[in-house]
Amino acid sequence: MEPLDDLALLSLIKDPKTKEKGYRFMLEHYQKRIYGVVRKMVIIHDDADDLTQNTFIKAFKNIEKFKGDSSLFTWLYRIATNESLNFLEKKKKRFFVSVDDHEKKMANYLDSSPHIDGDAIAVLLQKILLKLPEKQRLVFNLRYFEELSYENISEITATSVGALKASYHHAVKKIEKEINGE
Amino acid sequence: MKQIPKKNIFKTPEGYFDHLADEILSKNKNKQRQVVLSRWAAAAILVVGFGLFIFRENLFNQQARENLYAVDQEVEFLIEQGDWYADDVLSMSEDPNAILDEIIAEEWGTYELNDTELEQDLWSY
Repeated sequence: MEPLDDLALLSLIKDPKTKEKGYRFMLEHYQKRIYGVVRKMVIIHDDADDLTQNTFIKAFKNIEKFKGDSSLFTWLYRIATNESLNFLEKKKKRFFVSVDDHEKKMANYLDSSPHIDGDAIAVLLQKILLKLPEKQRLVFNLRYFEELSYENISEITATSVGALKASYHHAVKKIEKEINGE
Repeated sequence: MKQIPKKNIFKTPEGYFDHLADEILSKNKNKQRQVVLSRWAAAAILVVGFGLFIFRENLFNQQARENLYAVDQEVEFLIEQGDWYADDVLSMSEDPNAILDEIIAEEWGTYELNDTELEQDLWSY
């Protein structure tokens, strides 16, 4: 499938005759990346599946409001990361008075799920990341795994480049400390 | 961080991405249908509610009119029978002058007499 630029894709979507075709193009072009960023945050496939679907449905619902001041990619990432952070926040509140802990649930999933395929050090990294505050973990994921520029991350998270650099730097220090067993 | 590979350890079920687009598009259509249906339902509720309100108001007014008519009929009957005099009924009212003005307007409403003609009319009796 030939990639479409944002303007062409938006034109397809805005025309009622080609709206479905435009949606499908958007899905097929972005679904893996959106799923990837969500999955790295929520760890569990079923949760990532729900949130990915919610992200696109929200995007379709609000496409008329998309002003084009950022790229479609950045806009979708913003919706996806907000969905993920809101989801994790709700999980924290829900488990506040119960024995279970969602962070523990995600750590156990890393150990036991067939949908995790990594060596011990890669799994260890994910478990260490789970101990970081969610926003710091998000910044780390976007910079380290997604390899986005700080400018891009700044647009997605509405955070200054300086704050992002500081956050990433601290995350790296914490991870290195944990890995080295300090 | 150089010693840690950037391997993606997160796997998906077989064929997950092959069906994801269809699933999302189908859900999106259903959501749009739900929005349309809920708007129609809201409009229907408003129309029925408003209709009921108007019906109830008319019913109440009609009953009130019927009640007043029944009272008027009874008063007239009592006056004709001689059980009540018109003066007695007027004295029971809060504003007898208003009632008299109403009667005059009703009985003389079709007349367009000027003051001179009115005086002559009065003096003819």
